[in-house]
Amino acid sequence: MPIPECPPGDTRLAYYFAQAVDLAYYNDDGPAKFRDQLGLEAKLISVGNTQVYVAGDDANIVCAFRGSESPTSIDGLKDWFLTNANNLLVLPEGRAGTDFAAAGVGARFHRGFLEALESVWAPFLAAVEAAYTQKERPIWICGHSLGGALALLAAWRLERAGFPVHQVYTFGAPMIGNAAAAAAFEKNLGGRVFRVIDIKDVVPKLPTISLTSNLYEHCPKELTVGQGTPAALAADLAPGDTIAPEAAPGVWAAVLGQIEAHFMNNYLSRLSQG
Amino acid sequence: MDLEALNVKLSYPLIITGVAAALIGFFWFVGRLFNRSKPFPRGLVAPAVLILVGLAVASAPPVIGKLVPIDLGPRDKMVEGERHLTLTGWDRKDYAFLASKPDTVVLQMANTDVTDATVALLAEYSKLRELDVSDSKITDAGLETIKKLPALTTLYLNRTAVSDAGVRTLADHATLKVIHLRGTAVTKEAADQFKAGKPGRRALIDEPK
Repeated sequence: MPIPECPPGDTRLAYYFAQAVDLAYYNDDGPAKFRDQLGLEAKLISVGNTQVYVAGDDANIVCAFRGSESPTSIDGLKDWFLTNANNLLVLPEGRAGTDFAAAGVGARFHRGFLEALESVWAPFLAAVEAAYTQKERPIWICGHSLGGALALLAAWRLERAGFPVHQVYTFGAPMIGNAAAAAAFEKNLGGRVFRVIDIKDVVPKLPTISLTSNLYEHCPKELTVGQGTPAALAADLAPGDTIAPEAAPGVWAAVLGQIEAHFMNNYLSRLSQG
Repeated sequence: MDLEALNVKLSYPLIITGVAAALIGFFWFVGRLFNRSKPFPRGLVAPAVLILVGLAVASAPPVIGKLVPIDLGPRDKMVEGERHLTLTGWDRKDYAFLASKPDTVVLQMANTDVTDATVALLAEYSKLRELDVSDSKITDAGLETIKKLPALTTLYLNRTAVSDAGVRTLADHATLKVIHLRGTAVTKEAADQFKAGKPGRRALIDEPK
């Protein structure tokens, strides 16, 4: 299935990239699945704890970042404790520091995400450059969860490196930086970034439980999938003022539902319903 | 070294030390609960203090990070022996000091108060490879200075008033490779013309609506 031709931010595009980021969780059989499901020739770039597929066909280049793996594995534990929890707001050193300072001298970014992107940056940029030099095509970037954060940061750096980013789709992605950073991303990538979130998914509200967190802010446009409003969600979580014993299983189900809302399967099924 | 940088540098040792101290305190506390050779509540004071001190040390870097104001002065860094200077979003107004930094290799000043006169300060910048004057008041007149920069490879002109005519004056530049033209009135034809001028050139321009 080729990338559907429709306006930026259309649900059909979001569904296409939801499939791509779902496939980004596969290792050895990933390239075959990219070929079968999306008609893309894909190559996995994996350095340290960061994985990204650079895929393409005759008309497009697609970069899909893998999100955090389940904390039941060593890789997952590394994702959660060394990357996601490492949420001091910083400007990195070196060339990356110059590229991100371009957002303004007051912009600060999530250190764990910066380090995760830095580990894969050189081979990733080389792969995109090779593909783009071979034939100039629209570059699409996508990712789920942690991968969505990396997709946004990668979009910024690719553009700074002189590669035009066509559109970015993130699914249940957390925030990546402070207000100055978000404003700069909005100014430079606004209209090309689509942040797909389920109202029940809590991860896009992260990191809000940390000491530094209220400094974080979301950048560009948000697309909401699934039904419900914040008020209805609050009512699900705490029906009435106190939780009656008979309501407890329902509350627990609502909490589990919020966690499940973050999984890629949820986003895929929401988007496939149109 | 400024306080923010110091805090970032010390954050890993502080967090690891703090968490380790809190964990040791926790096991010490549990041990004391079961082995009451010391008198009961008093024996728990030392491990409880260790837990609290550990947590305080571990949480210091994010707390300090939040309290220390962000320095909005110029960001002047040596990166692999090259001067990278960023003034984008700074809280100052006087660009005159730029005349004293001719060894700058990357200059980022995407500010609305940058004009053709500011760009004229860069006449002696013989090493300048990347120049970001997005969001500035630069016009085609400023490009006359820019086209004489001998080492320039990347030029950011996003959301400026430069025109097709201005971009055409850059066509013969020997080293210029990438021009960023998002949010300008420059047409796809002019951008393509620039790209066609030399192999490997790129121009970033908005898609037609």
